[in-house]
Amino acid sequence: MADNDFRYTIPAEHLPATIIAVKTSKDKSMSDGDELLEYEYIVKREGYVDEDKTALIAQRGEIRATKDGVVEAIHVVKGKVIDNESTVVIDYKGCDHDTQYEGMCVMCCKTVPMNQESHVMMAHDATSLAVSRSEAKRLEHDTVGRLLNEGKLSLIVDLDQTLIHATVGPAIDEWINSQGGMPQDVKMFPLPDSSTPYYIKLRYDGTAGLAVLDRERFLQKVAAIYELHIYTMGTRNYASAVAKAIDPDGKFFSQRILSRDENLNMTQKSIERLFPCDTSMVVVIDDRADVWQYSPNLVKVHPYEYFVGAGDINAGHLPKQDTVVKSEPAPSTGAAPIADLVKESTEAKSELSDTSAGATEATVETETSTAAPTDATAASSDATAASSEEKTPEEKSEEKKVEVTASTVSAPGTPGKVLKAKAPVMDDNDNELKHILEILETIHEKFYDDREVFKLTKPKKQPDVKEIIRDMKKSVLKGVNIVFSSVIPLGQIPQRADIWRQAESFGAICSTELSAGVTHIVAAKAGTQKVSEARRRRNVRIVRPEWLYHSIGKWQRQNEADYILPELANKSSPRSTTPPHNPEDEKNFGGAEGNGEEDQGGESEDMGTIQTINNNVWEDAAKELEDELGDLDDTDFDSDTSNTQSDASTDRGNRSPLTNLKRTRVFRRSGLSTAVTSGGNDDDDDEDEDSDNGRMNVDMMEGGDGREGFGEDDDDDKGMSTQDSDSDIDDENGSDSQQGYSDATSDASGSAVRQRKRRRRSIGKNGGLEDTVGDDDEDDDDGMDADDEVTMDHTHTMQQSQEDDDDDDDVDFLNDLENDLDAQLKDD
Amino acid sequence: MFFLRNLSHTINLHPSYYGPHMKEFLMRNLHGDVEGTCSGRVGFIICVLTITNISPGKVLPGSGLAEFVVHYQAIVFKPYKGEVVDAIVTSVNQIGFFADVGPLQVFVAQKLMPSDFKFDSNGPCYRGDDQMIEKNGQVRLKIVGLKHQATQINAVGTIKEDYLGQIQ
Repeated sequence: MADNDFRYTIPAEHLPATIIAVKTSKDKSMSDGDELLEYEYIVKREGYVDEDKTALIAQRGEIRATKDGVVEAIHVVKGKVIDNESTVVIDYKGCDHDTQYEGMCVMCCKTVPMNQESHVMMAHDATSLAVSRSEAKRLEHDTVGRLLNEGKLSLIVDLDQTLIHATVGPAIDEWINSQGGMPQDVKMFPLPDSSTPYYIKLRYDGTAGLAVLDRERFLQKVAAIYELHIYTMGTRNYASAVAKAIDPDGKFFSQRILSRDENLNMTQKSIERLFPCDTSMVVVIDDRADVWQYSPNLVKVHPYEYFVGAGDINAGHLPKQDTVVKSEPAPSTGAAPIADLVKESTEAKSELSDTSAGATEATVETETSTAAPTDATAASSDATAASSEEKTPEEKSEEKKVEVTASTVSAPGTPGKVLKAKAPVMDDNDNELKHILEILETIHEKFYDDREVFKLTKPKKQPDVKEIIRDMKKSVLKGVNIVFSSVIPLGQIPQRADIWRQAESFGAICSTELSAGVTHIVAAKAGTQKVSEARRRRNVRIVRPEWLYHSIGKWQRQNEADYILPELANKSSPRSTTPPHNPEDEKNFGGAEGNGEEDQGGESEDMGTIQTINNNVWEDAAKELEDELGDLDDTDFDSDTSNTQSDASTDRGNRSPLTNLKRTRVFRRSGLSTAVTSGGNDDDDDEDEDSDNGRMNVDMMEGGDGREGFGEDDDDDKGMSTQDSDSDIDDENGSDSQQGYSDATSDASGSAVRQRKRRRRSIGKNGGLEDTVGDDDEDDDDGMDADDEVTMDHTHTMQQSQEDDDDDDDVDFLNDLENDLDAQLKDD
Repeated sequence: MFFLRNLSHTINLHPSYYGPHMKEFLMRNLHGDVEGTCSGRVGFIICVLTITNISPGKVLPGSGLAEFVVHYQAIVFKPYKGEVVDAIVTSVNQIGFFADVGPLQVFVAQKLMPSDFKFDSNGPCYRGDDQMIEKNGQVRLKIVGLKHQATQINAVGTIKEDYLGQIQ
């Protein structure tokens, strides 16, 4: 830096001058204003002593340092006379204190007061180092150049609940012991200064069941295109230990680990801590957006929760997460919940038939929950595949919950047979990392594409991941205009709600009022004023919040048809004349899922009823179910079931929902493709239907639903169903009964429409399902069926929204429950 | 640099230690209290060699503790500016590297490395033409700056001179 080289000379007006003192020495560190040299010079002055005489007066002058720095060379000695203004007396090197260590400039070794404004920390593992902005810029420039050469970007990753899930406590010790060893990918380590063991579970990256080497894929793949940095709110020891666990060779993270100890801020993370000047090549993945102040560089990851209830063990000091959207119970950090869960799950398992042998955890889970041993394996494996693709973690966690609840309910019935407790409470099917990897790859690709363009055309703007991320997000929900209904708590300012911000960052427009441009209502329940209002409009889609979460989570707009709101709440709504549910949904539904869906629909209606039902009913059912478990066949969706419809609606309701759930899952797999295609058309038709049936659906749900569900469930059984007894007929049964209703309430036109829908669906279905379809079409008696089904779906959704989404586990579990219910019904 | 220094330390001994083995207690206390500590004035006290004198204990009014002033000789390590030391690298980043000289942590900035040293994030390390500085490597460096705090000494070093740098 040339402007820091000073060559001090004697000012011309002081020449000649005699050096009288050198006040410094070579290599001495000086401060701004320190005296370096003293000299004497003679001035002539008129009339100083006498009026008419000229006096010669010796005056002293000095040379002072004009900046902090170091003396490089002294070219004069005391007594030397300087008579040339070009004579350099001292070479001096100024210092900007660009780099400071413990408040000491590393260049001139001068103690400099720490200045937060001018100096920033850049080193991951040391707070004692600070660099000036200009130095930081220079260093970052180096980094950028290096990364560009390597074709990489920077990626800051969070640990807790992003890459791993960690927990501590005696409960988990017990659990591990009960497993007879450490489950796969769970690692244990004590921190240096305590004996408490920490358990961490590495997050699967969508490659569950593969060899360990394959599972390292995520880090490996990411490390190929990103330089990885760890940024965690855990302590240094914790961060190092975890890094060692997930990256034993240090090849991914090396020493680029930043922990709470170096963060200096207990509540927030900041990209600037590592990249003070240039964040255009930095991507962040974290499960919490708030600690990053919703940074534009952030790719939010859905939190990973393996040890149920453990939450984030390092989030204690962070502000409470905004949990509006999640229905999960607030994560308590204690170990107790884990223990409870473990216990419960064990129970649940025990009651279920144990088809599980020694598969990986994930598979075990699913299998166990499958009640019917016959098709358990096949179904579960299918389900697993499907779920791994479609299920988002949220759903999973919810499902988990459901499972637990179910187990508690049914437990009384099955006290005796407790099977071995290889109980994976732990949910480990999540493939979030796979999505994230895709997103990261896209970002990387786009960045370097942009850079090529930049190189060629030299536009003003450099490529910037912030813009790439923003654009990618914005395109997800582009053109979507959202109104929330009973999603954001009343006390909260809607614009500040996490979900609101997220939606907006993904390109949606959010409004508080149902204005003209609104395209979607995201509603947690039906029956709110907004939902009712929206129903009256043709062009507003009513979806469950999951639709939004999943769209956001996957960076992909999800098919609204899969997230239809359960409709039952309408009963209470005063305007019975208006169509109770949105036609779109119904249609979508039909389209989305083939014949099987129809079943679901019926079931879902039942679900509606269920909601009102008491748990007691369930328990009773459960007791009886056990006995009959063997009898029932789940394998055939179409054929299974039908019980007497005449039974109290409650009974049906109970049982049917489960069935529905199961079926939904199963069908999903087959029907998915169909769903997509059908979605668009449905709207129009649906609307018509709505007007026709509106009231009907509701009624059905309450009274008639039960029948539907039954009919579908068991073909053989009980004659209660007025309709056909064939297995295929399930749907039809439902429809028949419904028909009656529909006739009563709706016009012929409505039914016609429905028929159309049905056909569509049937086309979409595959294999065994098709049979059903055929029947349906023929019967088509009832457009109503479709409607009914839809309705049911909604209800069902409401109750257990998680389960809709394709989880295998749930499916199995549901099967079991279904069986139970069936049994109960039989008894009745 | 290492010195043999005469130092003194004041120990308050609890009455329960009064008795024939009092001197042993005092010695044990002394070792525990001073060895491994650092003061900006003395440097790092490495090891107590001999106890030269133990003053008569004076019972403190009120508490019953006895106060002894112990004079002892100890090896101390006190870094000096300009001193050349051998160190072990503990951490490398793009600003420079940290190295430990026994208890003393020294930071060497990149600017105080020879100009052919380039930062390599894979490692991470600094690579020169014929040298490499990476974690756990040994370096010889010269201390150019020291900061003495009450209980801590920090140093800045350089390897930008002849015969400094990696110890092969």
